[in-house]
This record gives sequence, structure tokens and C-alpha cells, in this order.
Amino acid sequence: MSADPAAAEVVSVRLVVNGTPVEAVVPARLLLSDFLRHQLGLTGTHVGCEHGVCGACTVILDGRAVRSCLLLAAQCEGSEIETIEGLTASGRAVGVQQAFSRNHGLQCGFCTPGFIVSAVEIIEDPASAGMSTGELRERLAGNLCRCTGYAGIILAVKQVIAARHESEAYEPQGRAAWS
Amino acid sequence: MRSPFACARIKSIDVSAAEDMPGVAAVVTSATLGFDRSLPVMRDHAGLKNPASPQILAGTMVRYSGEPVAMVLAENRYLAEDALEVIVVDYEELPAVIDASSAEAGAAGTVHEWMTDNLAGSFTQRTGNLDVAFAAAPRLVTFSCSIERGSAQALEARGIAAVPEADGVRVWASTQRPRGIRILLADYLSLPLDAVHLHVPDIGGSFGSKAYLYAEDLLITMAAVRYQRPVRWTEDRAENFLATYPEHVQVFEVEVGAEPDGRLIALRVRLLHDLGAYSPYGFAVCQNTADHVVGPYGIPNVEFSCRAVYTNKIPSAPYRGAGRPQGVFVIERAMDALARALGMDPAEVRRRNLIAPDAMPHDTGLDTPAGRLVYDSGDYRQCLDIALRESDYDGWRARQRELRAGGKLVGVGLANYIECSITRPHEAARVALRPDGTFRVGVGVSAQGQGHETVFAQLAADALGVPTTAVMVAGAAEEIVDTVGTYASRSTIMAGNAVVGAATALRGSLEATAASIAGIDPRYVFAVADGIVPGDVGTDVLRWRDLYSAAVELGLALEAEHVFRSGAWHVSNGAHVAVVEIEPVTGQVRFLRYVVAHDAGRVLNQQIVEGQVLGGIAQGVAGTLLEELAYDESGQLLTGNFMDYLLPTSAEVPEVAIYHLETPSPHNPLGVKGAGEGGILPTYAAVLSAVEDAIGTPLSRVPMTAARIASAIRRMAPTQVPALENAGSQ
Repeated sequence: MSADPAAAEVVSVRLVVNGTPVEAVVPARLLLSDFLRHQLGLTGTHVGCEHGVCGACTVILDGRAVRSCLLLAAQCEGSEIETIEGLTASGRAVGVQQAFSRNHGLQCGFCTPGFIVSAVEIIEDPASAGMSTGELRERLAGNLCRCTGYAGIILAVKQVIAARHESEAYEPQGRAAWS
Repeated sequence: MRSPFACARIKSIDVSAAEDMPGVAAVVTSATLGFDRSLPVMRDHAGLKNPASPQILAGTMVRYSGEPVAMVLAENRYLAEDALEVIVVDYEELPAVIDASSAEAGAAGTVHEWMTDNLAGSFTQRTGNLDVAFAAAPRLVTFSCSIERGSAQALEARGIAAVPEADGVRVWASTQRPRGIRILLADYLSLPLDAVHLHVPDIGGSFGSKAYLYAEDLLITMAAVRYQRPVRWTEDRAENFLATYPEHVQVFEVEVGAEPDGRLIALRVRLLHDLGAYSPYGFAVCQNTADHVVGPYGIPNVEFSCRAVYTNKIPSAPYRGAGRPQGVFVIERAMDALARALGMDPAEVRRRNLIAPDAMPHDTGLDTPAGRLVYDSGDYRQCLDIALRESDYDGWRARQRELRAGGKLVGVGLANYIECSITRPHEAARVALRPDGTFRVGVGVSAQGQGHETVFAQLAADALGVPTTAVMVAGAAEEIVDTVGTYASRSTIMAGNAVVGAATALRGSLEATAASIAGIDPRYVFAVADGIVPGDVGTDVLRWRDLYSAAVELGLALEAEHVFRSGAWHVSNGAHVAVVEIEPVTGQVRFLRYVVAHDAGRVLNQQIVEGQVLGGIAQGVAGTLLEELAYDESGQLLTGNFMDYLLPTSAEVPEVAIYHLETPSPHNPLGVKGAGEGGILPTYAAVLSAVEDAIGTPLSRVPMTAARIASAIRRMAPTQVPALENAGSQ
């Protein structure tokens, strides 16, 4: 056999996924996206390009939105990960999800989980209050949608930002790690 | 494993090391494939003299970079990719034929060794007398142009899973043509149709790219049957660029004969069409180009001729619009060229040629393989006027002069279009009452994000008189009624009218059932939201749930099916106006305004129609300015990832204002027309028109990237740049 011996290398990782501690022995080369989808069955994280451009695989890693296709599962030792499933279960994404539905912010829906995760990070950013449409378009440019032309997505996120910042009772949720 | 060469002879393939790799179950090559056949070719065009069918796995020759050569079946993708690395193929690389012009000239050799040249076929469509018309035309304009549209790039790439069963195989496929694929799988595998169970789950976009029976579909299903194990394949993006068929370049030579007032007398278009290495879709794309090249204009003398050639590139297939944007591109380029030659406003030249609403239906005089091309209805002038007014066209023309005097390159572009849906031959729907008193709608057309579930539920609910929440639309493969499929903006026209027919029939039979239960004349029953009232107002409602039980007991019908048939041309239309500003050094294009006036007949769901238009515009804008399948001289794709092949992001697409006009089609009860492709059709023409207006020099190709725009600006004399007046004459 001429296989690269590194192919067979395994490592053990401990991390927290959607609030639940996870311990696993994984191939050292296993992508985080494949780990989430194929080992944990969290198939809401979609894989669109596997080179970090399309953003469909976006998850929250220790408070920051990141691309799970550009990380190895082994790199996430000791980390906390929130996937679209976790954000949905906790209700943290519900406002964005409803706004996407209301504004036809999705057609095929493949890019939607990644957009929702990115949008959650944006709306929880206190700086989003004064964001112009142009700035929001730039901020969301890390996620690709091939169906909608983005109009419904931009409108949805703008509505959620407006609703959050109009509310005086607004309290930021989650870890404020964007600064 | 895919060919690394665009053209090579395979001298040997050694898979023994791969077969010994950990986790590898089998390796399949053409020698062990067990099929003598190749993939299907659409042969419904008389002009396609030399069809070429894609190979399932290449055995002796590879004809494009990316052509499948071997398949590894392993426990997971990581192990399969390890095994691919140790397959040894001895290739003898041969000179490749890459661009269409050299393919046509033939000096570079032939793509197919059984052919003496690269000509797959040709055809001509004409009306009137071109020679007489051109001889008499007071003004003549000639130009050439080319357009390459890139690839669909559905965000979810393709995938298929197959599980063997006692009597056959169960397949989950990302296809937009479930029934066609199922029939082909059964045929290739020599299984009875009933032994192939096909499921189509939610699909992440298609845009035409998922309608074909690709090699992978057949290979995976075959492997599940042969090895009696579940087999799955998921295409990754790198593979998608090499394996999922895009559209290739079309090169045009155009001659226009006109009156001095701008009215077109004659149009002659010669198309050189690049098919890539095979002809899976026959002439589907270039025939659409032919059918859209006259556009919304009344032109008495038209000749369109096409020569289609093979090149050593991935085969082409329809991508949203499927040849239609190219037809629109040509006629709109012609309008701009004529306006320049006559020193007229481009909007005015167009207005003078638009078909008048009282001239509908309009017979183009063109005989196509689908019959005489006749436009059914539409008010093309009003559409253009709305777009001009809402975009403040005249205002921008005036401001443009000041802005240019201040050194800003601002341009206004416009394009009209028609969109012909391909309806023929039929589509069916079935509507059934369920035990819980809700209704189930079954259709054969599958959806990949177009919102079929919403629209069909809406239509059935309206016909039944129930809320949309009482209607569930079943996925295409769960309920296979007689179907042709989702393409060419036909689903709402065909399946939509079938749903209404089936729901109306079901309502009639349920009312008859209620009448017979109540023992009264059926004319005195009527349906309400929660059931049927058998008799006068005030009579107790016979609830749908109870009606179900009663009908079961009486053995009466609980479902109805309807087949809607049509071969008529359903012709949508519209006008786009784009206003752009160009950064003179980098050539970056920024949109200042984008307005659409759109007529797709009756609008059933405005949000969905607008979603289709906006999505099409985003693809068209990027197809004009960003997306390019660039090949090097040896046929290697240079833009095979999202860093080089640039999809539009939210930062690049314009904010679009949409205005609807609703001219119902006379050819179907709902009065609907196609809306799935209208957004993309005129975008290439409108955006290129705006760019060339901004820089004041004619441009002839798409994609027109920022680098090309910048170099066009640099080539111009410095005095030309700020002077708008120079844009009107060459």
C-alpha cells in the first residue's frame, strides 16, 4: 500500500456542540463540517464549496461565525460550537428565521442555514444599529445565495436589526466576541 | 477519477493498487462497466447530423478535461480520494481543439476521430426575402459579438444515493426531471420501471443543470445493484466545475437593414455555437437562441443560421434561459448599433420597432421545430414606457452630460425581451381528499426553490374553496403522475392549470357525493371552507372529514386527476433599464438604478414572481460582469473555483425596482405565462449596453469583466473619455 500514513492518524477531541459535551475519536484530517454532518448528524450545516467562499457551512465557534469547511474537527478541542440546530432550538435565530420566511429570503433554502448563522452574529452586534444598507450588504457578502438575488435576505436582516434596536428592553444575547 | 487532459488517448489503466487500498470496495472502469452504451442524446432536431453521446466512463479516448475515467467505491469520501491517487492511467496527450472558430476551421484537428470535421450540424430559420430586403435597405449596419454565459452553479452541487432492494433499487437523486431520469435508469439497468423507486428530496437549486442523466447517476445506481450495497455520491464544488454541464460561447455575425427612421427591414444572424465535446442536449440551446433573436420587434425579413461545432471542453447543457439570453443579446446589440449609426436615442429606435398591442397575436413568419412562432399577447410599448418612466431615463440622459463633464463615467442601458416558454406536450395533477379532511395535491413537476408548493396549494385551495393551510402539495416523486418536467418556465402554465382542473373536478364530484348523501339535487349544494353545505344557507355543514368517511363507505371518488395539454407559445415580455457608474481606473461597475417592467400574464403570487425576476437579474449581472469559464490553450479550466469564478454577492447585485403588467395569455384558463427566466434574459444586454454607454465605446463581448472594461477605457483616446457626444458616432 502506498497510502500516506497520515491518512490513518486519529485524534481524540472534546468540545461542546449546541450546549452538549461531545467526545470523539476522529481522523486527524476530518473537516469540522464533515464531523458535524456525518458523525453528529447535524446536517443543517450545509456544504456548498469546501473552500471557504460560499458560507453555507457557517457555524458559531466560541462566539464568532466561522466556516466549518475550513477547520478540522481536531482544531476544535475545548471549543464551543453552535450550529443552526442549536440556534434554532434556543430560539436565538427565531427572529431572523421568521423574517426570512416573511420576506421571501429563501428559495431553494440551501444557503439559508449559513445566512441565518451569519445574520445572528450581525444582529447581535451592537454596532449593527447604525448600519447602512450598503454596510449590511458588505457584511453579508461572505455568504452566497444563487436563487434570490439577495433582496429578501437584506430586507429580512434589516427588519430584525430595526426591531431589536427599537426595543429598549434589548439585551445582547450570547457572547459578545465580535469586538 | 477524471481526465486531466482535454484530449488524450488512454493507453492503459491500472487500478490494482487502488483496489488494495483501505476501505475500498471496488474500482470500476470502462472495461468493467458492463455497458456498451453511452449517455443519452436529445435527437429531436433535424439539423443535428452528427450527434455525439457522452461516454459513461472513457475507455480509449478522453475528449475534455474532467471526463470520467474511473469510479472508486469506498467506505467514505476520504478513503475514495486516497485510492484515486494511486490509479495509474497512461495517457498520450493529443492536441486539443479549444475555441469554436478553430474548431470550425478544422485546422486544429477533430474532436471525434470518426468525423472529418467538427461540425455537429446546422440549421436555418427564415422569413421573407433577405436578398431583396438588404438590396433595398437605405441603411446597413454590421457587427459581430459573442456571449458566454457560464454555468448554473446551484449552491448545492449534485448528489445521488442508491439502495438495493429485493425487487430492484431505491434512488434519491437531485434531479429536476424525476420521471425522465427514472425511465432512463430502468432502461439502462434493464429493470422494469416499477423496480426503480425514485425520490427527489428538497434540492438546492438547479437552473437547468440537473435535468440530465449524468454518468454519476447511472454509475451509482448500477453499483448499488451490482454490489448489493448502498452507494452514495456527493459532488463537491471542484468536481461540479468539471462535471456539471455549463453553457459555452456563442459567436455571432449580424447584419441589419433599416429605414432612416430606425425601422428594421431585415435581420441576418449567423451563429457559431460551441457544444463542447458532446451533444447531450442536441440543439436545445441554439434553437432557443433562434426563437428569441427577433424579440419583441416586428421585422419582416429575418434569417438566422447556426453552425454548431464540437470542441475539447465539457459538454454544454441549458443554464437558466438556455439560449434565450443570447437571442435577446443579439437583437438588443443590433438596436444599440443601429441607434449609434443613425444618431438616434436607443429607446426611440426600439419603440419604433416594437410590435403594437393591436397586432397581437403576432405571427413572426418563422417556422421552428415546435411549429410556427406566434406571440400570443402583450403590450410591449407600455412595458418599455413604464421602464423608461420609472427609471427616469430622460433625467439620467440629461444628468449624464453633467456627470461626464465632471469626469464621472455614467451610462444608461436598456433592453426589451420576450420569453417563450416551452409548454408541449402535457402535465398532470391529482388532487385527493384525505381522511383528516385536508387535501393533497400531487404533481409531476419537481421544484428546486421556485415555490411550486406555495403556488399549487394556492391554486387548489382557490378551486376547492378552502384555506391554503388545508392543502398539502406532495413532492414530485412521491406522487408520480404523468409528467414531462420542470424546465423552460413551464411548470405554472402546465402543472398549475392541471391542478386547477383536478381540484375543480374533485370539488364537483364531492358536491355530487354530498348531494346524494343528503338526497337533494346537486345544484343546491355548495362548498365552504370546512365542508359542503347540502342545501340552503343554515343547513349543517357536511365536514370534509365526514364526507371522506361517507364517500369511502359508498365507494365514491375521493380524488380527481387532470391532464393539461398545450403546444402553444406562451410569450412573456418586459423591459430592463440599467444605470451604471464605472470607476475609470479599475473598470468596476456600480449600479445607480435598475428598473424592470415585466409582463408574465396573470401574477398568482407576486412575491414568488419577483423572487424569480430578482434571482435571474443577479445571475445575469454576474454573468455579464463577473462569471467566466476561462480555458487555457490546452483546454484546462482556469476558473474552477469560487475564488476565480466569481458568483455575485449581496454587495454586487443592484437594488431592483419591479413593475408588473398583467396581460393574460389566451392559451390557458389561468392566463399565466412563464416567469422563471425572464429576469435573466435581458440582463446581459441591458448591463453591457449601460457599460458601453458609460465609457462611450462599443463593446462586443460578454462576460465584460472589470479588467476588460478598464483596458477598453485605456485604449480610448484621452479626449474621448469625458465626451458623451462621441458615444453617438464611431
